[in-house]
Amino acid sequence: MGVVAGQLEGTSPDAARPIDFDAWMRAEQRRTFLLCFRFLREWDEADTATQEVFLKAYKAFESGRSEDLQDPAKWLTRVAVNTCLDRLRSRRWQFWRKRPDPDDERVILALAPDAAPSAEDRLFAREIYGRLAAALERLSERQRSVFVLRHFEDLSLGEIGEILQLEIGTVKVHMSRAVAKLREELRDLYFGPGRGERRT
Amino acid sequence: MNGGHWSDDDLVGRLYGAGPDDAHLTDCPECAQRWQSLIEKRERILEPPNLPETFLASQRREVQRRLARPGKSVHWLSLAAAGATAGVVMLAVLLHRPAPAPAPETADRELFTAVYSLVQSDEPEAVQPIRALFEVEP
Repeated sequence: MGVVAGQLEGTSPDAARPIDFDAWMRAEQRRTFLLCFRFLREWDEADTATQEVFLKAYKAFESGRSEDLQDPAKWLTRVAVNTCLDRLRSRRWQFWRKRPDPDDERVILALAPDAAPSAEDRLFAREIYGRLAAALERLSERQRSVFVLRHFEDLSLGEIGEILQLEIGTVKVHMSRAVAKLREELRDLYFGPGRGERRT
Repeated sequence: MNGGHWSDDDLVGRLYGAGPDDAHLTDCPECAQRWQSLIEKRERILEPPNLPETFLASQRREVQRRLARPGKSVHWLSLAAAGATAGVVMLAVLLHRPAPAPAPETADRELFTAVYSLVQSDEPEAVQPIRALFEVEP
């Protein structure tokens, strides 16, 4: 890759052809960073975690551990999730970082997609995203992992189970608890504010 | 589920794989329509945000820089440094350990004398203050 590694002559996961690590990183970088950011909620932390993920990926390619790399995107997701969980565990001791930096909170809000048509709707979508991001902190590690992979990565429960190495029943239990805790935020996100809970 | 139709929470739960799992959505046109609009809303919500290309480029450069670093030699150097530091600390502790205090011989002798006198006495120690009451002063 670049000046450093040039084109990495690693083993491709699906066939024995050389893989351009730089191009692969470019293709996966945005997704990986956003995944890390959604777990860690701090820009610098997510940046460092993303770098770690690609360093691990490079080493894995270099050593040709093809059994890990049958599906490189899924493998990369697993490495990213585990890296983020490790960082979250080590962060538990850093109580002064409980609240994210105000600058990071602004970034979180800015990351909300601008799909809504009006300025008011855009503002509302961002507000909900901010609340949703804050609510993720109330989830346990497993609940957060399952929810982030489902909501943001759009993975099926089976794929989530493979990545987290959990039984699908366990994934469902974590998901039910996560959705129960995030109920208000999700309802606002999909149905707007002031919407009644029940329909008859 | 409430009455004939699914609630909003039921639909959201179903969206995340945690809701009711029956054939209602195929049987009820109204709920099927709400389900469809929920799926469309989700697709809009999940549009990936834009990250600045300058940031991504600098992140790639940082990965390249870290890959260029001779990781193994740094690893061994840090191990060697840690070992040397531990050695110096142990040496310092050994050199500055205070000499053991000399055994208090007199203290032992006094203790043995006191115990011996107690054993030799006919009456218990508690009687001594009472005896003092009857002693006549010269």
